Amino acid sequence: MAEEEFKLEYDRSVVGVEYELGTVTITQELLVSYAQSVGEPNPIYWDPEAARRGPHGGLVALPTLCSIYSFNAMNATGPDLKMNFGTTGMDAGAAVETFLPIRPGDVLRVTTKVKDVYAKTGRSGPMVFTINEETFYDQQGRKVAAVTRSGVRR
Amino acid sequence: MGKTLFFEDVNLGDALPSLVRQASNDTVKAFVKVWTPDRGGSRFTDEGQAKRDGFPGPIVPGILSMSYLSQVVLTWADNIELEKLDVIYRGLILHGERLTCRGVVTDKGLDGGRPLVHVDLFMERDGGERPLTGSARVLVPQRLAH
Repeated sequence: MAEEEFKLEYDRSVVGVEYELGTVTITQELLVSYAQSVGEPNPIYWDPEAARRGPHGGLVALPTLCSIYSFNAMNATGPDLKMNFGTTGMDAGAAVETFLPIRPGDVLRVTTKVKDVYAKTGRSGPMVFTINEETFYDQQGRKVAAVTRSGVRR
Repeated sequence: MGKTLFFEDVNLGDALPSLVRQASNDTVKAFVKVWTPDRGGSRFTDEGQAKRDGFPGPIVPGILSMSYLSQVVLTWADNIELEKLDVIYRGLILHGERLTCRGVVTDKGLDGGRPLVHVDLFMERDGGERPLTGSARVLVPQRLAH
């Protein structure tokens, strides 16, 4: 079933617009508690002494850390598609990309935007996919990470 | 840990060491506390909410499953960089499910002089079903550079 057949309505003016979500202050405690909460086995990500002897000379964030900062998790006002479709939503996929190490003391500015919205029909009927991207910049304005999320509503 | 890996020693078809993961109720609660400390009961931690959302029971957050898959690469060696991880959620994962995370090298080459290795990743139930699949781009240093 194509998008037009079930009259998918949403605010198209939101797509592609970058919104500021706020900042995240990176602390040693955050890096360690996140690494421990996901059961990371490699101590260079949660033991400061092992990290000091490791390739980065100190603690750095796990590559997946930024995946926990979506606009829902940050209690921020983000893009509102005002979509009139579906009763339940779930994650369909995600991608995390790291460009520079994230270290304690960094203050990351986070932005988000809706990259795409499209409809598909699966075995259970029509579904709508929304692709969001969060981008993380450090205090020097360098892009340090990006997270792309695909969500599905049905 | 403490293992060092060089680009020259990586071969197509190499299997990365597998990991077994099993997210208990307490594991998921601890993760949610770091992820969204202000969140109340949700489909991830609350049986009633999970059922109201149409799930058979509390589910493991996708981003926690994704982090499990990343660990296959992160424990491969200390001197490598996981630059990109891309996953597709193909099925629900309930608390307590035993899952094996595996990775296989599918490609390697120099990209603008950067030694990159590509790995296919998947999470497998004992019955063979794969609720999470993905791929990774990994920077693996060349021995010549050392």
